[in-house]
Amino acid sequence: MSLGTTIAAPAGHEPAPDVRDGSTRPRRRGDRVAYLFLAPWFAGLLLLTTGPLLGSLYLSFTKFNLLQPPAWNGFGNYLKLFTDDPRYLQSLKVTFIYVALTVPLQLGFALAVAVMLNRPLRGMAWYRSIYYIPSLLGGSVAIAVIWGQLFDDDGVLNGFLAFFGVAGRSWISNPDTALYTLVLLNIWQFGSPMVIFLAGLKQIPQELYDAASVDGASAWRRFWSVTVPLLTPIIFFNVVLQIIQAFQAFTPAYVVSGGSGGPSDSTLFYTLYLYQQGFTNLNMGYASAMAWVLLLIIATFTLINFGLARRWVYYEDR
Amino acid sequence: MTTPLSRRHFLQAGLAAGALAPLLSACNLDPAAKEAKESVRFSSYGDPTKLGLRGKLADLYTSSHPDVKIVFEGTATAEYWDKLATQMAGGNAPDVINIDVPRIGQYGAAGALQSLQKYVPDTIDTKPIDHNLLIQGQLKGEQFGIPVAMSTYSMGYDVTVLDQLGLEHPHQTWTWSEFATLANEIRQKSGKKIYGAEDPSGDTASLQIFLRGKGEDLYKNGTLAFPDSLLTEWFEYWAALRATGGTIPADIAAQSKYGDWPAGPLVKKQAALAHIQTPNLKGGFQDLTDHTIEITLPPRNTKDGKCGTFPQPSSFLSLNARSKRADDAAAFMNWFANGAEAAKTLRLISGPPASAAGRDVLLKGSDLSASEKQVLAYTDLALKNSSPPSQAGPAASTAVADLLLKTSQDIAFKKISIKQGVQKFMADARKTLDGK
Repeated sequence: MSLGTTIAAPAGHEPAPDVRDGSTRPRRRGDRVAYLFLAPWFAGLLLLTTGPLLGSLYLSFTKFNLLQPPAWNGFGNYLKLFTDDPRYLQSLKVTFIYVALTVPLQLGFALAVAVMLNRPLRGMAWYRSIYYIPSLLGGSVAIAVIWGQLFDDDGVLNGFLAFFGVAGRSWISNPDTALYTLVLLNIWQFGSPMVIFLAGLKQIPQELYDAASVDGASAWRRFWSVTVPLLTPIIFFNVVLQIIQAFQAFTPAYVVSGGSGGPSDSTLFYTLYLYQQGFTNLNMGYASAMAWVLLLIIATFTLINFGLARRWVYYEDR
Repeated sequence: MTTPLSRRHFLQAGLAAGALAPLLSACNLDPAAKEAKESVRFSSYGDPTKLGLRGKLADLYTSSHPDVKIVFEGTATAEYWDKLATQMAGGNAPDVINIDVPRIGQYGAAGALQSLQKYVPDTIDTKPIDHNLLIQGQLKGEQFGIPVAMSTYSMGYDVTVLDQLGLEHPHQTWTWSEFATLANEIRQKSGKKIYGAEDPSGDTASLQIFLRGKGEDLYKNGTLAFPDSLLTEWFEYWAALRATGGTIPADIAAQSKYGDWPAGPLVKKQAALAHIQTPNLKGGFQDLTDHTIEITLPPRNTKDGKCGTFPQPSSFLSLNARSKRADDAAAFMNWFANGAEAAKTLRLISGPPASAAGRDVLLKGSDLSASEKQVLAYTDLALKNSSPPSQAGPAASTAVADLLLKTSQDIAFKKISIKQGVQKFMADARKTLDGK
């Protein structure tokens, strides 16, 4: 009830009526109705998003095992993260390597495929659908399981290598290669950035290519001097999105390593370690602190991205 | 600018609240939570087969007790603990909780479970239950968990492979050095086609068997109870076998540690020796391979030395500290642990019943299957050879288990030396157990 009134209140106290059209009341009533219709969404936001969000901020300063009330711990959790937890530093390392490899490789691959699929060929719609399929399946547990099988010691890849007389190894359970199989899995799911690239490519006016051709530019030259500059806003968008997603990667590592982040913590992603601390070891306060640090890391990367964007992103309408 | 509460405002507020009402009540729509008022909720973990049987048991109790309805909430093992911890935090956990050995200490110490002492012996009869099992469900002398079945660590071997290679089967009083000899022979005689044994060097249960055989243990009073030298000996033993192919190489070991039994080296016929917890013998091993699997006691230190194995409760039934139907819940727990219907329904799905009453029911029946006979015979043997049980592990034992696995992998993949590994493990484990 009280929540309902607070949400409805702004409508009643609308301080700046729009005087230009001279009729303030109908406008205000419209606002109220709008707020009323938004109320369920606001309730959801407050109860299910903002509330837990602030709750986790509080918990990050406590020791909380889910069973007993949280006990205030000041900055203890944060201090321990960076001074006294080698597994946390390992998870940071794994995650940074993953982000650094997976984002450029996946986007490069997605762009290459998008350029290929941008040609006016018969049945192109079919090709586009087929190339998008991995992304539909990608987040699923089933694919992670299959991935495990592919790169197992008796997996498909080794069968293929054996055909050429190369003795394989278990790629997925070797600490030197396990992370790279997961990078590969993510690159394979290039569908969603690819579709966005494709939409961007469609926006580039054909005249520019024609003009470049007349000037004698090669296909390669046309790509670098026409396609890439005009596509920079799209590339930027994809970079920001994919970096955020890569930092949050969880499912493949969880499934492939059976939740352990092994072998030898080589696939101990940030989120996986967070999950282990929260739900296996019941250190929910510590896990909350980890979540907030991850938020700061992602926010920093996004800010840096936006800062750098001024130097390389070209907007036609500016 | 203040606005008096007009009729319209009032209506709007009311409407807004009306719009919110279903949302708010939606939080409470969990059917189980709604029925909690007149029912006893019972949560359990396991594979679909086990959950099916336990669900059937709940129905059976409900139909024979008209005043109590048991609401069964079965969850796959992988998700069960996350769910239980969340339910506990939300104050919405079931009345009767199926809980395992490592977690009963964790939950009991945190005040999440109720002492069952006041129900013993009138409501819950603990006399038929093996004393050594019973004390593993006690915290500071009070009963917090009723063991339902027992699980025993055993050494499994592939009879088909051993017979093919003309090797002798292991006997009850074999030693770790005989184990190593057999493992190496399997490797050699098979023409290096298969390895000798699994690599359990990162498994706390296996380490515990080894330590107990030496008169030590994993934990005592919440801290590590063994010297560095024994852990070094343990890692060196497996490193030597790894070098000769007596145990599987590091990458196969890392793989088999993941996921379920089907990935294990015994089932995949990569090795002929692997430890088996008795309740898993049928579903986890024998049903998954066309080879014959037999079990015996794990190796000892010397011929006449102690055998490290001891029967453990497969799981407990515990009572939620917040349960409002504690009396009914306790009665159900007794029926589950001691009752003939329960024994007949569950049989050996979690191992032999912890209660002698339940075991009698099964032994009197003439319908025992081959693997059931195997497990019952082995349990009998293990009970005769076992020493007093270990103390319950501390709350951080799950984190220590993670640490041992990681250390063993670091050593097996030659990322660090055994000496470094032992030092690091001991230091990190102590820190974890101290609660940081």
